[in-house]
Order: sequence, then C-alpha cells, then structure tokens
Amino acid sequence: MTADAPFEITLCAAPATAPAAGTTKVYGPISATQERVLSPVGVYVQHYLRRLENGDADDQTDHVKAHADHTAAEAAKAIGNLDLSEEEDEEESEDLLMTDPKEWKQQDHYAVLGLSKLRYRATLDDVIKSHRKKVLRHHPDKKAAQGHLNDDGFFKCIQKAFEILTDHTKRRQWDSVDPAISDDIPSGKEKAKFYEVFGPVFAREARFSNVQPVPILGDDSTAREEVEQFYNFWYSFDSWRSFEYLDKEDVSGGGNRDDKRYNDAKNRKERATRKKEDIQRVRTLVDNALKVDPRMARFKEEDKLKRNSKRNAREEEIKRAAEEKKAAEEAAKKAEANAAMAEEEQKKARQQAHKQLKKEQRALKIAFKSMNFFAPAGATPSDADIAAATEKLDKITAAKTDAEALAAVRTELEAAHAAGNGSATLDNIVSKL
Amino acid sequence: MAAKTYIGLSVGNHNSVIAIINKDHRAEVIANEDGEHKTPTYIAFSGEEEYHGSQAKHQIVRNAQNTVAGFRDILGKPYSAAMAEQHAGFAAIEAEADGSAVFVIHADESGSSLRLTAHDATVRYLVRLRTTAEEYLGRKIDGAVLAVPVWFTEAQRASITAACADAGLPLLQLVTEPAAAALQYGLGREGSADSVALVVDVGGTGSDVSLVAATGGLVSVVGSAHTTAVSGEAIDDVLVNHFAAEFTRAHGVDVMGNKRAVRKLRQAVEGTKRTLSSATTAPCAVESLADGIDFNSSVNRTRFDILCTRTYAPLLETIEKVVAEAGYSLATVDQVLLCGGAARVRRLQSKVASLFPESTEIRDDAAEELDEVIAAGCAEQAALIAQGVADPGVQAAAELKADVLAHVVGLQIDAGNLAPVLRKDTPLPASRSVRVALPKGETRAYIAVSEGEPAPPKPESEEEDEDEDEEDVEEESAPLFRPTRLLAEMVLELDAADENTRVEVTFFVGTDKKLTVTATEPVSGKIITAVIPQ
Repeated sequence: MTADAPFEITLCAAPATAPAAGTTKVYGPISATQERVLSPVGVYVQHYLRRLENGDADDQTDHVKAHADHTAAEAAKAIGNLDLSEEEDEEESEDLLMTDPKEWKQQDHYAVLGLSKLRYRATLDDVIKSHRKKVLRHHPDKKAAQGHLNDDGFFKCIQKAFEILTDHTKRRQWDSVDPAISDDIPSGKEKAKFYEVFGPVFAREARFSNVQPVPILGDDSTAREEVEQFYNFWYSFDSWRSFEYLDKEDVSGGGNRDDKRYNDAKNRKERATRKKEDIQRVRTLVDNALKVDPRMARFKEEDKLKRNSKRNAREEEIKRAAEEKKAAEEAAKKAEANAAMAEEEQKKARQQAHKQLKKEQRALKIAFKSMNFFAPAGATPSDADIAAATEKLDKITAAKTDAEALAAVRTELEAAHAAGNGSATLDNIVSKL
Repeated sequence: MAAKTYIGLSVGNHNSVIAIINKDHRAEVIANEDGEHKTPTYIAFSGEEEYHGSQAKHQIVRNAQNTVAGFRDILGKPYSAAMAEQHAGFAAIEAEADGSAVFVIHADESGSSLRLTAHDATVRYLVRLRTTAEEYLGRKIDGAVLAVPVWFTEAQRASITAACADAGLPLLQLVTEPAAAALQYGLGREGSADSVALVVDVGGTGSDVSLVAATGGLVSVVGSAHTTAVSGEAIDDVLVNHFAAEFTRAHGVDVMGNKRAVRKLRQAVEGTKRTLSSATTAPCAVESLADGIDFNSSVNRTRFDILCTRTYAPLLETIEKVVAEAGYSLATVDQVLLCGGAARVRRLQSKVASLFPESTEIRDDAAEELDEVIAAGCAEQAALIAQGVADPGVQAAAELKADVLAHVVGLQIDAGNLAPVLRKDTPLPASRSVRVALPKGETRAYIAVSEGEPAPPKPESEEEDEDEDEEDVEEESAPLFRPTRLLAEMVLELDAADENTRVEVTFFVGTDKKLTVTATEPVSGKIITAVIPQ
C-alpha cells in the first residue's frame, strides 16, 4: 500500500440495517490517540514538524504529497519557466522516419519524440506527452489499418527513445553525449563580445552540474563577490557527465567471458579518458573566460590602484619631508651669509668712521696749530700754551668720538678764531664736555 | 564549494563500522587501516603501546587482562558487581570513589597501573575511528551521525555525546539503531510505501527486536525488546563447546578448563561461523590449542544447525512478544529487516521467516554485509543533513512527540474483515484514499467505517503437509484485520453502476483528532461526507 497509489477493494452489499441512501449514521467517537516519539530520520520529518507548527490541521493534503509538490516546484523553478503548452508539433522528415531501429545508438532520441528543440530541457512530462502523441500516430496497428503491414520500424525507434528518456540514468548517459549540442568552447580571444560569447556556453555546460542552481555569468554590473563566486564554482565544477553511451558493444555476442572482460576493461578505460578530457575541457573554458573577462581585468586594475595609492602616499610624504629639510637648511645658510655680510659692512663703516675721526682729529690738530694754539695773535705760543691747548684738544678728542661733531667743533673754533675770541670759545667748548 | 564532510558511525559492543557519503550522495562503508570493513571495539595495552581494533582483539589470547572490551555498554552507567562479572576475563573493572566504573590496566612493567574510565576508553577509540575516516577521505570530519540502541538511557546518550565531542567528532544527531536500519532499508525516504517493519538486530552480545512503523515517510519505533540470550557470542559458545568436546575426545586433553585455549578457540570459531553462512562446510583450525597439540577440524552446516537449534528460540519468543505488545499480529508485519553480523546465520533467518506468513518480506539487501546496515543508515541520514533535507537540530524527544492513531481504521468489507486505510500508529494529521468497487448489481455504495485490530491467526490445520496448495490459498484470503467497533455507516446512491465504476473514499484525521470520511464518485460527482468526533 503506497501513499499515492490507492489500492482497490470491493465493498460488501449493504445490509438491511444500512441507513437510507445518501444519508450517514455516526455511531461512536474514534478512540483516543496515543503519543509516540518519532525517530528523526528520513526526508519527511522536518516537513511534518513544520506542518504541525504551522497548525495546518485542516489541510487535507498529505505531507508526503506536499513534500513531493514542493520538490517538484523547486525543480521547475530551477529549470526555468519554459513555455511548452502550445508548441507546434515538429516536422517529421523522411530521413527521420526511415531510421533503422537496430541502429538505435545512432538515432537522435529527442528528434524521434519531436523534442529536438527542448532537448535536455524537456521534462519527464514533456517526454511522456510527446511519446503518447507519437504512438497514436505511428502505432503498427494504425499502420496496418492503412495497409502498411509490418511497418513498425519507426515505432520501435519511438519506444527505444522513450525507454532511454524516461530512465534517469540512461537519459543522463544520452544527454552526456548529445551530438546536437556542441562541445566547443571559445578560444579566449573574444574580448569585445565576452558576455555574448561566453554566457550561452556556460549556460549550456551548467546542465551537467550535480549542484543546482548554477551561478550565471552575469554582465558588467555584476557584483564582485558574485563574479568571484562564479569562478570558484566553475573551478570546482562537479559534473555528472559520463560516457557509457559511447561504449563499444560486444559484437561477437557469444558471451565469451574473456572477451567480455576485455571489452569491459577497454570501455572503462575509454570512459575514463573521455571524462578526463571533459574535465580538462571545462577547465580550459573557465581559464579562457577568466583570461578575457573584462570584469576581472577591472578588478585587477582596482586592486592595483588601491595597493599603489598607499605606496604613493608614503613616497610623497618622504619626498615632502626631504624638501622641507632642504629648504630649512638653505634658509639657515642664507641667514648666516647675510649676517656675515652685515658684519663686514658694519666693520667697514666702523673703519670708515674711525678713519674719518682720525682725519678730523688730525685736521683739528692742524687747525689748533694754524690757530697758533690760541695764543694771542702774533705771539709765539709758549710751551705752556701749547701744552694747555693740547690738553684741551685731547679732552675734546676723547669726548667727541664722532667725526662730524669734531668737524663742527673745528668750524666753530675756526669761526671764533677768525672773530678773535677763539680761546674763550675753546674754553666754553671744553667746559661743556 | 565548502561542503561539510559528515560520516555515519555504528559503535557496537564487538565491532564498529564507519560509513562515508560517496560522490553519489549515498552511504559507503569504508575499510580501516587493516583493510577491514569493521573495526573490533577493543583497546589493548602492552608495555608503552596502545592497540585498537583487530590488533587489540588479537591480544585477547595472551594479554586479556590488559584488553578493554565492551566499554560502550559501560559508558554512562554506575559500577555494579554484575558488570564486573560480565567483563571477567578482560581488563578488571573497579569502582571509583564517585561510583563510576573504571578499567584497571597493568600493562607497564614498572607495576604502575593505568585507570581508564569508560569515557576515556570511548574517546580514545572514537579518535581512532575519526582518524581512519579522515585518512580515507583526506579531509577533516565536520560531524557524525551515530546510532545507539533503543534501550540506551538518557544518561548513556548524554555520555556518548560527550565522548564524541571530546574525540573531536561533533555529533550531528543521535539516532536509534532500528531507525537507522529502517532508513537504510528505504523506509522514510521519497516514494517509500507505508509499512510496518520488524528490525531484527542480532549483534555480538545481544539481540534487539524493534517494531518500526513507517507511515507517510515518518519512522517511529513502536515496540522494542532486548535479549542477551541470542547473540553472536551465544552461537560461538555452541561451536566452542562442540569443538572443545571433539578435541577432548581425540586427545584426552581438557580445553574448557584452559582459559587461554578457550579464547583461542573462540577467535577461531568466529571465522568458522561466518564461513558457514556462505558455504556448507567450514574448517576450524587452531595451532597449539592445548598442551601444544594443534587442532584441525571442520563442521558442516547441517551439523551446525542441529547444534544451534535451541539457541534461536529466545529470539523467536522475543519477536512474538514485541509484536503482540505493540498491538500488531505477525501477519500484519509487512517486512522483517535483518541487521547485525550474526543475523547472517542462514538457519536463524529461516527460523525468523517461518514465524511470518509468506506475504511478509524478509530482507537482508540493504548493505553488502548485515553488520554494515546501521552505519550505512547513519551515513544516509548524514547525507540528508548535508543536503539540507533533514535538520540535525531536531533530536530532542520532546520536539518529536506526535499524536498517533491508537487503532487501525478502515472499511468493513465483510462481517469479519476490515480493509485498513489508516494504519495504527499513523501520525496525525494524515489522510489516505482508497478506490473501491461496488458489489455486482448494486448501485448503492455501502461504506462502513470501523476501527479494528489484527485478526488472530488461524489455528494451524493438522493436514498441512498433505494439501499444501489449498493451505496456501486459504492463508492468503485470511483477513489481516477484523473490525472491533463501527464508527459510521454511509450510503452513496449512484444513478448507474457497472464493474468499472469506482468510488473514491478519503479518510482524513486532522490534529483536532476528528475523522472525516468522504466518498465521491468522480464521474457523476456525487459526494457524501461523515465527520466522526474525537
């Protein structure tokens, strides 16, 4: 007794005591329930508990069915909403109808069932639906009715295709080697049309992923984490692709054990090689994409800028400090030179002044002499006069260290001498000192 | 993809098994360093060295007093004299000041002794299992699902959880052994049918019989019993006695009095027993068994079966007891799931099978070897957790309490025959549908909803051997359930009916414990409903 396939029983005839037609009689309450601890194993426990929590007491759908619906809905979401409803039946070409059922390995199972557009995207439902359609059209009984006896070649092809596409394992094996879907990968020089070239290729390869959903390539505006996640995903790509479909059959058919083993070993080897090549192929694809991805280049540039900006700032700092130091040093040097020059000038000025002074002193001395040491006119100055005048002169020279003042004294004296009262003026000057 | 690495573990009293999740997300039992799929649960000390697994097991012969065995069952239990007696022959058990048990080992020549608690022993052993798995996988283990017997107490469960944590093996979930076995046999998975299964686990030191109800993919253990009377050891005992007697007869040397000889012989017969499950004759050879005399003999399966005839009886009694106590009959058990190494014994399997009608499936196909079933089941659960289908947080008993139906509810199709619709122990809410045909010539569907119980088995007829065919027919038509209490009657009147007319009857019990029965005829759309209160 399974949950979704109800079993059939036959009822007994109504006894005489049965209620009237269309009525019910309720007798007793149902026995009290018991409490049991569930084992936390299996796929349904979580679902069941969630349901209890939500209190869906009146939700009549069984949780098993609910779980199945949920899973199916998820799967449908993952595959993407494909509009299958009103699709035209595919044309059946003459060649297709002439397919030899013995050569079933060569036939295109999707084309036989009219699903060559959907291919791996076809759901089990699609397969069943289109199979039914094809059987209605090509059933040998129908052919016989039209007068074509023993024309069941294409029907056999249909059955074979149906067998393969409804068996999960066989379908995967067939999908793995589907000749209508190219295995080509871009060479990695398509910088300009990167998204247009690589996007569909990644979408195509995603069908082999054990892990669904597969991240998509995105576009220029995709966030950096997403891009990095994308490449991480593809570098650890977990593929279910396998190559059993290409196995060479045992042609002898005799069932010789040794032959069989030999063949098996050969096929296994072949499969392993193909798988290896396929892994390498995907790897190359990702490598190529990474190489020309404009976003990766941009991220690299950004990284570089970020790294460099720090370094530049540091260098600038050092440079500025050096310059400042240099400027300070130069300023100090200049100041020093200026100071030296100023001192020199002062010294020069001082020397000049001294010279002037000496000159004035000499001139004053000469003037004293020419004024006859202030002795009365016509008289030869006595030694005492000379000594007194010299003493006064010394006093003046000692007091007036300025050349101009000395000059002034000299002019005053000369003027006074001319006026005849030189001696008095001299005394006056000396007393003023 | 930083996927977590989880494993499944079953730690038995005799052997432990490690199962990993392989690339196809299925369980796979791995071999340990010695190339064996199961690792004996022993730790031995010799001088400075510490041995685990089969190396430790080999030391039993000459170094038994320093070999720690059976520590799983001691974990979380206080010391008792019975415990020490049960483990006589291995490392001595003494009581600590706080009442816990401790193994005392005198491996060092210096005379100092090592006192090892059951916790320490388990931690050391689990570390070894973890290393084995990590070396095999080449990755760190992020967590494990571990199975414990149903009869483990809360203290024992807590102790083993603590031991796992100390061993660096974070416990994702602790499941019971029958639940793990049921999962490995496909119960509780997508597309699994409702069924009542009896898990018969024949282990090294005892047998567990558990009745498991799996309705709507929800697994619950509805009854369980443990017996130590039937076990791998008990079967070994029979063989040991047999061979010891043979040896004594041939050479006049007593074996049973010689402890070392008995241990040697015991290790040898384990292999003999295993071989007998696949071959009809198995040898048993022990070098220098006693007094330097080699022993070389063989036993055939018939002989072995005769020797063991009485050994299996307690198991059969336990099965009958568990089924009856849970309120089921043997005929209503849909399948018997075998697990545990000793369940491989052919005669034991056929004895169990003979208890049940032919409709009951006896299954041993869940894993390559029966002693790997539980570990593989744990790994399957770990795989579900890794995929996010199961939540490891859900394991406290309080969270997992569910109301279940106390009796089977179904349609009365005969005075003494009830067609079950909602089985006993179905967790609520639940709904099931059946399609019913009308009796010939009737246009009224008489629907009698009734509670029931398993029908008592028919007394076996005497002339069983004479007309077997007739017996078979009779057995198949015997009702499984009989109605005990009529809950409601309803009649759906149809305009016309032939043999192709079907009426769909849906039973629904919500969490409010009300039973709603709806009968519809899809063609005419006629409908009738009855609500049966709590």
